[in-house]
Amino acid sequence: MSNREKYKRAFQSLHAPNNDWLEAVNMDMNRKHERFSFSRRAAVAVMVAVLLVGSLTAAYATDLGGVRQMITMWFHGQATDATVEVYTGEDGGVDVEFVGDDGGEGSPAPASYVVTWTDENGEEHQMMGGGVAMEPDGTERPLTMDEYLEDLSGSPAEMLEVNDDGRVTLYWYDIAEDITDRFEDGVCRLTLTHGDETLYFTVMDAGDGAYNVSAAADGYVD
Amino acid sequence: MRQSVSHLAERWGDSLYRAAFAVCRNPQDAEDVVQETLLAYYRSDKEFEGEEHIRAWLIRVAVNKAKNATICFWRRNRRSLEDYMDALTFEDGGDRELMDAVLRLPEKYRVAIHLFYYEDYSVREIAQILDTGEGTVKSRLSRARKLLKAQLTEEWDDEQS
Repeated sequence: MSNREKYKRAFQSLHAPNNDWLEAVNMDMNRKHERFSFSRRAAVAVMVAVLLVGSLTAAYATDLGGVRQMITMWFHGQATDATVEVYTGEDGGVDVEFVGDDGGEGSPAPASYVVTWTDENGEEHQMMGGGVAMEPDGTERPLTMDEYLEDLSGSPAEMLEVNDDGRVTLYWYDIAEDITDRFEDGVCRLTLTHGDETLYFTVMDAGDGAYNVSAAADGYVD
Repeated sequence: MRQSVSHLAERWGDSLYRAAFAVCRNPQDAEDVVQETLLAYYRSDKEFEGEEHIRAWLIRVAVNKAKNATICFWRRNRRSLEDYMDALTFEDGGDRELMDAVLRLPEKYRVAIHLFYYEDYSVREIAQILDTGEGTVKSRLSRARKLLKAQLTEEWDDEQS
């Protein structure tokens, strides 16, 4: 048996678990309002991925070669000065690796950014993410520093945090809501208002300590 | 040429899922990638020359989105991969070993290897999909094969690079 035949046989063991995603596509096609999430912000032309990795304690980089700028963002309900770095490397990739508390390693995809800030206790935290802009012809390109800054600074920096005790807190501007006990069938829905702005949040427990958070100005995202 | 999303989902859903999984190594993220890829197609006004053109575009978008997913959920990836692999049914005992070996490759090697061996794309086609040079693809394939050979020994045949 050739390598190709062996490879195909091995990967044919993989099947999309079900067709729920097709149903989700159909739902999204019919959705009228804008939707965004913490992990994937879907706008008309730009998608940005953001993940809070508050427990990430060790980060090291080789040949950073990045662009660094200061920015003010909302973290844990407080306006905080932070540093944003955008990295590029081979093929637009990233020469940076992270090691988490659990020993897990992550090497971000092309043109990622890392936001670093220090909390009120002097502890340093980092958040990394990345994104692409989708061109009209469907091709994608890494976002630029200016685009990241526009997105990050224009964002109220909504965040979800799961602490060591498993308590789940949703932050939005200076609002901190403990939503741990507000989940029904794995979904928590809540409405928050800041000034004249109201958002309807839908937080879904994705298992393994992961949560998908969506928000919309005109109602809950199904 | 345009085709319905439902047709593409049925025709290429598993293929996109496998490509996405080969990149992001997480079943939930791979599912998300398939969904977002189909959405991207739906939202795009792009006209295609034929089904193969659509397939290559979908693969390209899926690979890019899967790379993005590795940023978003890398902690989750570490936790669930082994459990997921345990739940798969492999036809042959060596199949899991092969998949394990592939998934341990660096991301850029995994992408090239998967497109070459599973999707049957040529070096030139992979270069176009990944928007990189043919030399880069050849180099990645060559290095990936050496790494697979080192891990799989007699289960992986030597090939011309």
